[in-house]
Amino acid sequence: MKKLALVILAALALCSVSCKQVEMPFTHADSDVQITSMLMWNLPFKNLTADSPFDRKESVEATITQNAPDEVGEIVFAVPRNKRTYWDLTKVTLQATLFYDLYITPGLSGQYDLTLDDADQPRLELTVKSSRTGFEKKYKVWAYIKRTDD
Amino acid sequence: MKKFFLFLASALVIGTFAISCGPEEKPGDKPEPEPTPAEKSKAAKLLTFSLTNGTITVAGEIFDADKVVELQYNPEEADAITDGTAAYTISEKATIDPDPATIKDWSADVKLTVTAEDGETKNEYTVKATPLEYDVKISPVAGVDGMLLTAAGANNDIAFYGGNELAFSGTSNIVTCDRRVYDLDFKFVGELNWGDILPTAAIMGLGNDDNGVLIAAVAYGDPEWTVAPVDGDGAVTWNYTSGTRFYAWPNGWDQAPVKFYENGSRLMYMNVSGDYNNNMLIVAKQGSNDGGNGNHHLFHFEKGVVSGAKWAWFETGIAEVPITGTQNYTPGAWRLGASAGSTCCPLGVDKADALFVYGQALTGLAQADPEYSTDKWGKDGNAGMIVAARQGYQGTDLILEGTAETVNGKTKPHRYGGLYGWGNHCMTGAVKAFKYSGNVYAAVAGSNWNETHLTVVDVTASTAGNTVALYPTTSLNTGAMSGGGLCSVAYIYDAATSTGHIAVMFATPGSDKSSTLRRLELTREKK
Repeated sequence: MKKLALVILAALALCSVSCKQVEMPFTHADSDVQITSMLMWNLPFKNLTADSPFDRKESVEATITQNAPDEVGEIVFAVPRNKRTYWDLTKVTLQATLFYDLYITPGLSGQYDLTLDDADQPRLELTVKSSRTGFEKKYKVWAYIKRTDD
Repeated sequence: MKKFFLFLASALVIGTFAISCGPEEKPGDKPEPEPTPAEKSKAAKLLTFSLTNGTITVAGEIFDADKVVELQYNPEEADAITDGTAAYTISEKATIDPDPATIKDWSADVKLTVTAEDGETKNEYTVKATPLEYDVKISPVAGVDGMLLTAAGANNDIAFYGGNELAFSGTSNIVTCDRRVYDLDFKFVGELNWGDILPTAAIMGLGNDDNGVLIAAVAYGDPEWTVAPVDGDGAVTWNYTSGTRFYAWPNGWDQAPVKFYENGSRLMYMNVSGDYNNNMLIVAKQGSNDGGNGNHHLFHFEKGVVSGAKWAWFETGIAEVPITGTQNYTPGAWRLGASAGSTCCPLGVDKADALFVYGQALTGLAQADPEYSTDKWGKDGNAGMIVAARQGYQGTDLILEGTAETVNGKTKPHRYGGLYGWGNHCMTGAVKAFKYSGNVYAAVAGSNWNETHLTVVDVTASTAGNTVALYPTTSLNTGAMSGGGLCSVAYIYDAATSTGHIAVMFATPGSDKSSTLRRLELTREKK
């Protein structure tokens, strides 16, 4: 019995020496849970094909208003007037830039209607979430034709 | 005790049934719930908007984010803005106030409120009309030297008598008085369809309406107008008793013409404005030395029928007979005959407010006249040609000035150009007034015998003493010309390409029988 106790004690001692301190994975601050940039494309697959509705591809970068981390942000795409004919704002594709451990819902595949609804409200709301902390940030997304050219 | 508990248990069971099995409900025992009223629509959008005046429609661009409707319009579309009928669509079950149908003038901002079915959701839109501004350019494009005209003759021949000897048919063809048809590069494409017109009848004047319907003044009479063949000394025989018939080619130069007017006088050298199929104004010169102040008749046609009530006599107040007094030249020598010494071109169809640009050969000034100067124009005091514009046939003249001679490569004002710098004399087809991109212009072809010049004056921008030229006086040719620098100018606007075409014909230097043709284009670019 005594020997057994000594063995156990030794084993415990070894464990405390050999175990290094575990590195905790990086965790985003809530303010990092955000969409940093976003692009809107006029074509379904971002490249011209024989079936493309337009004869050239166009993209517009969003203006993003983050607001406070716990507030809804705003993502707005302003299409120059002189490019109006290349856009159908009811069918656009989107591309977002995020930190590596964040994900967006709904997913950005497919096409979206970014026009305002009858009540002049954005139709699309995106949620970006940290897979580590679970913190969520929401954005309203919409697009419009501005009155000025490029 | 056992019995007591048995009794209690039974009572409990019976009581439970009594509570749970209530009387059976029959339909109609309870009232039907009120149906939830359908939610009223909140849609309050202006979806489309446009303005129309006649055949002109200006479509609005709706910027929903800003709640602005922009109506960008070209200068020629201004009538749709100042006197336009609105057409629009709004969200289903919405209303709009004020009713756009009650508004005609949209030149200032107009606010329209669209209210949704719910009565509470509203959007106010601002309708803004914005004129588009352009820079206008003019450039020579095509030309042919030495285009032979088949009409026989020498000096003072019909072939280059000078007086509306070419006009447009449609926007793609040019017709000359020898009945030939060319494309815009002066390539021959065919002979003008002469229909039932007698082969010996002659074209005395050509014009076209605003849409390119070719109009011709054809000398007619009993006997027919004839031209003697060339007999070496250039003698020509005219039949001065011929009357005139006006013909139109409404379906194109290759289709049979339509006679729409006949007059016992010798009407020639006419200029046309308006729409042959609706309202048209023709100014035609009576081809005889009738004296008076211009001999130009204003004929108004409604769907091809002349309106006697709207006839008028266009008077300039400038006598075509020599001024009596001491003069240094043979009276009449510089008039080229009164029949060829003036021209008048209308722009519009109502004589009271149409613009008229006219040209007239001034006679020699009397020595006592303060403007008399042999030094200044060096031709025995000949004052040359006057060109003026007036609003309404009895309006006040705005005198336009040109520069008329190139000496040693430099264009000089007023030297050998007469009092107003337009050259020695006036040809009856030498002035063409037209509108392009909202401005009024006058193409003036003049000559001082050594040269033929073309000027395109911006009449809209010109004021007394300050003539503005889109195309400053430019020499079209130099060299001695037989038959004089007899010039004709024609114009057509091609709406499909927003291009104006000016065609010019004048006698080829050194030739008695051939003409030189030029075409210039007006184009515009947005500022």
